[in-house]
Amino acid sequence: MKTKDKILQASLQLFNEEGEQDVTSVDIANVLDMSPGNLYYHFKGKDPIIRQLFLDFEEEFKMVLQAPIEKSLELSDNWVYFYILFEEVADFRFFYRNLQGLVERYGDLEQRFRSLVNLKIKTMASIIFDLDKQGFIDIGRIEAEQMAERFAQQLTYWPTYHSLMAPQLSLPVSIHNGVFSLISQLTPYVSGGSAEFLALTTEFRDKMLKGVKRK
Amino acid sequence: MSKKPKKDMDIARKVWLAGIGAYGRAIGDAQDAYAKMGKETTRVFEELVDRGEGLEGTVASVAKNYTPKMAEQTVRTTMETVGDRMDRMKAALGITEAAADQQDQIEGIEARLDIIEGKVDEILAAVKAMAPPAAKKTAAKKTATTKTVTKKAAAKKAPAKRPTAKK
Repeated sequence: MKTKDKILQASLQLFNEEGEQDVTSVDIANVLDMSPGNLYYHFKGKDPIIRQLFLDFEEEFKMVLQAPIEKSLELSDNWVYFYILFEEVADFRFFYRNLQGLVERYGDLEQRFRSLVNLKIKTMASIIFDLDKQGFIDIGRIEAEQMAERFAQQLTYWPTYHSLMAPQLSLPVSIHNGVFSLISQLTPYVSGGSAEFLALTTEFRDKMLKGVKRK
Repeated sequence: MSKKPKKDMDIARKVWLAGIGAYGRAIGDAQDAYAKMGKETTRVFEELVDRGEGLEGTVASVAKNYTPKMAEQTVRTTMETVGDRMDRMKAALGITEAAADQQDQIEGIEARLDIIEGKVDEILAAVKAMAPPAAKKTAAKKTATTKTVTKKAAAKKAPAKRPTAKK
């Protein structure tokens, strides 16, 4: 791996674990057993690192979000896809946790992040409309649009909510809860099998949580 | 919003549920649960097939012209990468080989459902087209005459006559 990539990887990990505010470029250099001068040769401080991390994240997340818009998901893949979305956000959680502070500091990223949230809404709408088309749910247009926005909102603010309400829970537990909380909102719209859907979804979540605790 | 017949919804629901069921069970025991889930899905699928075939018999000429819209050849570059990620996620969620087999089975059923669904749509459209009696008389007659099954011929002719009787 190139030194530049190593720096980015280590920075992301430190930011996510310690919180971006508490990490200095010297900390990053220390973790990598590298002199601050050498780090400076690659990145002129923390700012360009954060910017580069954002651009990489943006590119990857856009690709993931475009997928169901370009081609409908297999019905049974839908909820695996939600896991991928949560995983994606979790990988960049330092940014989500301090969203307001960071977009104030990096004004140019604010518009880009807003576009990303807009794409999230579009993706969610696409998934919900597909589920309706496939006959899995039966939902009106306005409700579907509202639900898409709610899903995007929930996904975006999930890291903040998690660290405020349940910081003691591990990340996997939080992801399982997050996905469940999102998917279970489909329940009232499931065509002719709401109870069955909720029961299976709940059963799945509980098994997942049990699996995490055993580890 | 959806105008699909109830039965189609039922199938779609079961496919989704079967998916969740398969993943969920991968964590625990329940090898037999796979079988049950598979059997259930298959049973419903068979029902639809039967229904589809029944319809197909009535309007065989339409069915003959039907060409299934098999997997469209769209650009899959993006999906492939996300597809790889799907596989990784499934593995991370603890999906065993059995679950993967189950998944394949479900996907197979889904593919077949697509075909059947398309057929049913075509047939329904054709039936609709036959409904206004005026110009469709010949089409109805053709259907009846192409029937080689003698036993059913009498029964089949009766409904075919109906539009003429209404006149």
